[in-house]
Amino acid sequence: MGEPGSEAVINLVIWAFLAMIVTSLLLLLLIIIIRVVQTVRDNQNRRFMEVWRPIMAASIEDSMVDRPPLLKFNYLNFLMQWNLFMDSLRGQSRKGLIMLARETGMDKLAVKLLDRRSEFERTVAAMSLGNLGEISQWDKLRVMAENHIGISGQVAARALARIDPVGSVPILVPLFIQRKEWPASRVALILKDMEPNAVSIHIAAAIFTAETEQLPRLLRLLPFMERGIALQVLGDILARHTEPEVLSACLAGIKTVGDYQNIELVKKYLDHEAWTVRVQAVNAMGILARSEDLPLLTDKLADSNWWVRYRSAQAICYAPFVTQDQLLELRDNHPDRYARNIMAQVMAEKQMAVK
Amino acid sequence: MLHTVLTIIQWFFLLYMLILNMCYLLLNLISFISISRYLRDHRLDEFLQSFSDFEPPISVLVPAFNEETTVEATVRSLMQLSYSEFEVIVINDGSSDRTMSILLDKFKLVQIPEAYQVRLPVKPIRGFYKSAMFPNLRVIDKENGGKADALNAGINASRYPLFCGVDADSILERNSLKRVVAPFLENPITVAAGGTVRIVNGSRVVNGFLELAGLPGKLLVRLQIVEYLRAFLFGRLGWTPINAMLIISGAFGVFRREMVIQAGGYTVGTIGEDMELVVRLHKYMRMKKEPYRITFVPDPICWTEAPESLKVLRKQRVRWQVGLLQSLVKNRSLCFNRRGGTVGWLAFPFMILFEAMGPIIEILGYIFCIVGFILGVVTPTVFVLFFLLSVGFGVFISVTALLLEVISFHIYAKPKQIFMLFLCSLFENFGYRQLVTLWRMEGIWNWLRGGKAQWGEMTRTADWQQK
Repeated sequence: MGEPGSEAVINLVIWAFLAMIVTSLLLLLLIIIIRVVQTVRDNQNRRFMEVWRPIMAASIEDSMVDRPPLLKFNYLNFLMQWNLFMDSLRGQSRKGLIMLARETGMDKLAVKLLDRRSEFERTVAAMSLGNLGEISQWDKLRVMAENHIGISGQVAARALARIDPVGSVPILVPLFIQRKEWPASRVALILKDMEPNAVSIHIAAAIFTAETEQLPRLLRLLPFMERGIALQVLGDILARHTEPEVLSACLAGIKTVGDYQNIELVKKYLDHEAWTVRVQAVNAMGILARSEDLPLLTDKLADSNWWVRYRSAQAICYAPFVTQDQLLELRDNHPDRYARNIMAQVMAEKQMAVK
Repeated sequence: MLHTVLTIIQWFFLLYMLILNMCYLLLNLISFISISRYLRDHRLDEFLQSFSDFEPPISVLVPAFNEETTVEATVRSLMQLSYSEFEVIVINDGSSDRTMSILLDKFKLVQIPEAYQVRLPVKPIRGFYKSAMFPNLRVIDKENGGKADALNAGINASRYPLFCGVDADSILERNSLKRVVAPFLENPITVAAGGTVRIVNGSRVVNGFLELAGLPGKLLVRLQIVEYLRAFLFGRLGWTPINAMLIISGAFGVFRREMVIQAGGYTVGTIGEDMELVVRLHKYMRMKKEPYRITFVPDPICWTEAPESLKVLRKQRVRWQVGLLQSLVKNRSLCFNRRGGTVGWLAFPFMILFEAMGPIIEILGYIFCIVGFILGVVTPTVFVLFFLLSVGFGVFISVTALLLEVISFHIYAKPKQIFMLFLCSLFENFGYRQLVTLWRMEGIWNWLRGGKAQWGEMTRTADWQQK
């Protein structure tokens, strides 16, 4: 090992220093070039928006809008903006925009883009074809939904749902279950485009055959099912399962889709050992309960868990069948101190909300 | 014999510097890959928005101690955040100024009885208040107990599964909650996510929101901007893909409430309570052998005021160093632990070797060169060599951070701003870096003497704020 002060080391360090400084200067040059390119592109985008947004808005009402030629470097911009417009519209109002896309040849471009290597271009294409209802690309979109990871697969799934809300169900529902990385919030968005009657049977079948750990995730999809089927599924799952996570998810589902006929099912869980189950039971009671159920909710004001007490107090305070005198009585004379405290809090919150 | 010892010492310093900078370059490379992926995925986000009913509700916790100049603007901007369901809880930690009276007056607070759930022990609460103007705004007035205690009080009072700690002087982007919650939606095992913090000095803020990002006039703040670029764009992003990020800034971070309570909440008595919590969450999850992710969102979503005077900057850096040391020492069992994974075997040792001990070694290096030169055992050439290498790496790493910024978010868009930041990355090597090293050394000294936790009080100018 030589000394750091030896000639070889000195030369090495000087060369390293010079290399780093020169590279830094080159990087600076690169940064400036990138910024120039970005600025040019931003200006082009701005000009495109100024011209084409009003045209797109006008084409919703009138299909005979005058328009300038669409320049090649604006093709992707057009499709992106067009998709955003389409997403903000429903039904008939989309027809004018679809016509605009076809007249400008963007439908053919979308088909071409679907075969590109760039994931971004493929995703824009899938979204566009979904909004155009382009059934001819069904198989390619299906392959994309089934095989692509990341958002492009999800966009392809949504395109299928838009093209055929019924026919896409047997393809997509199994995907919703398999693709655990798909956020539930996005799956819900896709389900909104699908036909509830067709979806119900497939989701029900998936729930019946799912592993226990998959159930809480799948049970969140109940609001997208037909109500009668959803209730049947809930009854069956509650009868077969004892895991707190599953029971909580079922009770949350009953809160959303249930009615008074299901209240007996809910009552069974008011004294469950897991507070997460009790709190969901109380939440469901808050929606379903009638005056004769008040004593059950009153008991829960003295629960050992704060959340159960809080939700019970909310259920009582906002129930239409509870009078102000009854509320005051509970707040001042409930035998349990914690119950009195939580009633005082929720009553004060309610009073402020009314103001 | 002496000659051999001197040679070994010189090689030690040289290798230390080389390894440190190689690590930074590696982190830089990882960041380039991560940010490219992030941009690619999120460029497509607008095509498939989330169904807002499925967004988890969030409690935004704002601990405040003597924040009379900024608290009103901060709370007003928080109330305008774009998110489906959230509550804001301001925790007045026994302020001695007008913080509480401003909140009472400006937000029409009414005291309410609250059956408080004490899951984490905190100092006594004086009162709970609810705003008559904003139904989702609550204020807790409590006795002074420090920032960690205030945050714990907020966690106790929060009602949602996620909470977001926000400094009372932070400026948030309108969609910041949506962006920082995305990792929780995309990956359910996420327990914490940090956001990128940028410097607001020199920018224009109107009604609590950033309107135009700009560069401040003061060189001291510009130098800090380069530091922030490095710290957030690759200091954090580089560790994220291997799930080993140890710091989420207290200015803006989202956590899963139950996990934080199970891990014991914020530790009262520590200075860097934000870092300490993240390190402890890693430790807690690793020891439990449960899958988890602590992640980072590179979008610039939170803006904070940087110190404009050397005096305030010194206090800040001393405090940061003490906080770092406290966090590492308190969770030292994670280091090289059998279950420590990438955190215990990579990030933790890196932090100890380069961040905690870095100032000691750097200063020893300077002393060695100077004393050696005086005694005639070290030639000026060696000193110059060390310095050249240090400057070369410093500039190169800063410029790559600048490149990362331009490729990704290009907040500083004008060529003049880019050139200024480039000059800063050059100038910082001549005095500023050495000064910061000295302050960090002071932090180490304070820690050795048992540095006490206190609120990171900072003189704020808030001259970027326009009503």
